[in-house]
Amino acid sequence: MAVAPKKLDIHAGDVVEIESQRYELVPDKRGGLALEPAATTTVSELDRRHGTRPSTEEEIKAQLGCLPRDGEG
Amino acid sequence: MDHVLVDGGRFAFDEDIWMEEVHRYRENNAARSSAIRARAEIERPGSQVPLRGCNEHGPDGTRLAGCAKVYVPIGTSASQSPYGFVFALRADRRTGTVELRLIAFGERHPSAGRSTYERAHKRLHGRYPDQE
Repeated sequence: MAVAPKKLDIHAGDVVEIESQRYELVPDKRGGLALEPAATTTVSELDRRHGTRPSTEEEIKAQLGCLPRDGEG
Repeated sequence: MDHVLVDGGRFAFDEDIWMEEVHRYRENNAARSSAIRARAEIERPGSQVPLRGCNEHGPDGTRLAGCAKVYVPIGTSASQSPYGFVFALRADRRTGTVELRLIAFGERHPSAGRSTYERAHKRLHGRYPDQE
């Protein structure tokens, strides 16, 4: 017997909760939509929470050194 | 040298970010276990953590200027580390001290779903690269 799908009025960008896990509806890069575990807290919110700001290149170099990059991401 | 060693005391983990990034994997999942072990290593007193810079413009469309990454498991070669933490480099407004705050964890090259780099991009810019 075919399963009748539940019809939900949700759209890309909406956040839903399924079995206590929050998901965001996002493009799946193939023209459709997919559920991705939510990533809701932004870096701006972290700055407000902790009293921080973006580090400057000079600060990074002085305190951590030159960070090598490998071109991956 | 493909990385620098940074004092583990500079790393910071917010619990809501940790829950969204690591606890999205089921218990006993390899990714989740690896993240828990790696965090314990980072937070061990005296730890020196291998750190690499992220790309201002990644090949996947991500823009992660001001971010750095730690491959997980820590201490293995890049090719043997399927996962990664991405940290945002932030400075204390009063003291200028640089800290590394976790913004993403996950597979570096997932077969499905978003990579750790894409999730970091989302937290930085509010949307995924292909949504811009």
